[in-house]
Amino acid sequence: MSLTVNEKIADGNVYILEMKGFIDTSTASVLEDELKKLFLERKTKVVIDLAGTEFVSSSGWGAIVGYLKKMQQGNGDIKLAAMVGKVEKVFKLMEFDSFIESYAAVDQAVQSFKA
Amino acid sequence: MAKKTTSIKTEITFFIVILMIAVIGALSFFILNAQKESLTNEVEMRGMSVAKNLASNIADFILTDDELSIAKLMKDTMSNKGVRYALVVDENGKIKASNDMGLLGKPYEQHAAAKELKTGTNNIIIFNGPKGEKIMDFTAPVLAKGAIKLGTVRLGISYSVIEDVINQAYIKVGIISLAAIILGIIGAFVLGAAITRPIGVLAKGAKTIGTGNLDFKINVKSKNELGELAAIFNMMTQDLKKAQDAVVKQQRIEKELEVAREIQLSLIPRDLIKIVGYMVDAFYKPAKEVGGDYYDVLPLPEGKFGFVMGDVSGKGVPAALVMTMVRSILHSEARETSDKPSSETLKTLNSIIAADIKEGMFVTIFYGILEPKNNLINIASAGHNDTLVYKAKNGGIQSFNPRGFPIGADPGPRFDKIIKNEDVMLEKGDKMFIFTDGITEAMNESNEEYGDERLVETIRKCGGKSGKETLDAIIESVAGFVENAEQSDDIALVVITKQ
Repeated sequence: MSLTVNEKIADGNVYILEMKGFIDTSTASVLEDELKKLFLERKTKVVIDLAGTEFVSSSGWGAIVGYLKKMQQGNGDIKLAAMVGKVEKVFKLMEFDSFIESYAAVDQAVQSFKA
Repeated sequence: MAKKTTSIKTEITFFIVILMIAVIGALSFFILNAQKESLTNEVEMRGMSVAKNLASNIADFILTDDELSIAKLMKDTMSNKGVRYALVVDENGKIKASNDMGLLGKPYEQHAAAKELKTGTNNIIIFNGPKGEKIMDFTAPVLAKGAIKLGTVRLGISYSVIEDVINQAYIKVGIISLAAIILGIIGAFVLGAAITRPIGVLAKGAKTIGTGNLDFKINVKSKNELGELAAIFNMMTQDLKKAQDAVVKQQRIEKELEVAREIQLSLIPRDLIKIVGYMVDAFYKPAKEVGGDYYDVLPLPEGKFGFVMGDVSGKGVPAALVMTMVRSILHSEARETSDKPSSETLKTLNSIIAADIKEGMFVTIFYGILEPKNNLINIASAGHNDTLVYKAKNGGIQSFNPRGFPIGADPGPRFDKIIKNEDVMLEKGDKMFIFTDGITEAMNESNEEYGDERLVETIRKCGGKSGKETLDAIIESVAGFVENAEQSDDIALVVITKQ
């Protein structure tokens, strides 16, 4: 169960985090450290690309929820993109979609920051 | 039991000293022997040559009876070192010439007390002279021209010549040997100490480590096997320490989980609740490691009851503490908001908790207020899974999940805006199933989930049965599905049956 992060920058100063693997109790800290780094560098516009993520546990959601408010207060946001079936199911089940934005494609998520 | 290193040192020292003494002793013995032999040979040869010299020189003088010359010769001969007497004995056994004039003409006799000690070569006899002195007696024939024997020279040389030199040699060798042995003892001691000191350091170090001090480093600088041994020892100790640290860490984690488990279990109600007109059946089975699920039934004013079921994100003591917080807040706040929709209680809960909860942690909660008087239950869900209701009148199964996201994720406005509530009517025979995803997400060894369909099916099959029977059937069905796979999440199930 491992997790890798690939950071990219898109126009409008939006940072994309490509997550590949499993985000569970043991790997959630990888995502958390990445978000912390971005937050400290005042890079508050973040899109998390979950196309390569097979599974997100409550620790994983916790990492995202934990930094959501911070990014929003810093004039940014965390938006999710390309969630796979199982991950999206849990996302909707817990009704995170009520307060976290998600899109089918990374581009859409990046574009949404311009609005 | 422990062999002291000083005894190794003593062993080495002792062994080296013995070896040295043996070697020096043997050397001395052979040196002295050789010296003695060569010395004896030399003296014998010299004696012989003096005797022969005398014999050849004196021959003419005896023929011519030149007493003066004879006397002179005798005197010369006597001047040789160690010579005690010089005689010429004629063929009749009478002393013809002698260093002692008084013996002239007398018959030659060996001193009566003479004792033959050793016969060397033909012409040498060793005997005990007067005063106990050992004398070597040399004979040489006096021959006139033409080999006519005139007599025999008898020359006596004291053995003390040899003895003195040999004694001196003994003393010299003795002193050198003693000095060598003393130096040897010191050297052996130093060598023994130098060799065994690292052993002592090693032994002492091992002992220190043995008492549990795994940070201790054995310091042996020798670049030999002992240094190697020390290095290996230190490496072993480090590995031991790492392993020990890992064990301690593991134990600490397990202990924390144990504590969390205990806290969690203490929050779950133990007694069955009794509500007039309703049956409430509950089942709870915690998973080995996860510590998240919680359920409760709260008596509220006006005969109402609050049903809670929650799931905290994360595990361990932090999760258990959050659960404790939720329970405390609900116990105190639920009564205040019991006359309002269930969502109001959750809004209050959220506003209080969101401030204190650790960043990133959240709780999914189902809250339902049962109003027995009105035969309804007003439900709200903060990110919780579906609630199923079996309708007795048509055997159908309904699913409810009012909008709302987890508690703790947002402190206020958005949570309050989104969360909804819904009234569910309960008619006679109806059963409401409140559960956590531990049931629907229970996995078997092929990593398949139990799923909603199987649950619905099981409920349907138990149509006419009591709440307890249905609950047991569900639990059995899940257990049968999961079989030997390890339980990965807590299982909680509450069945409310309207009678």
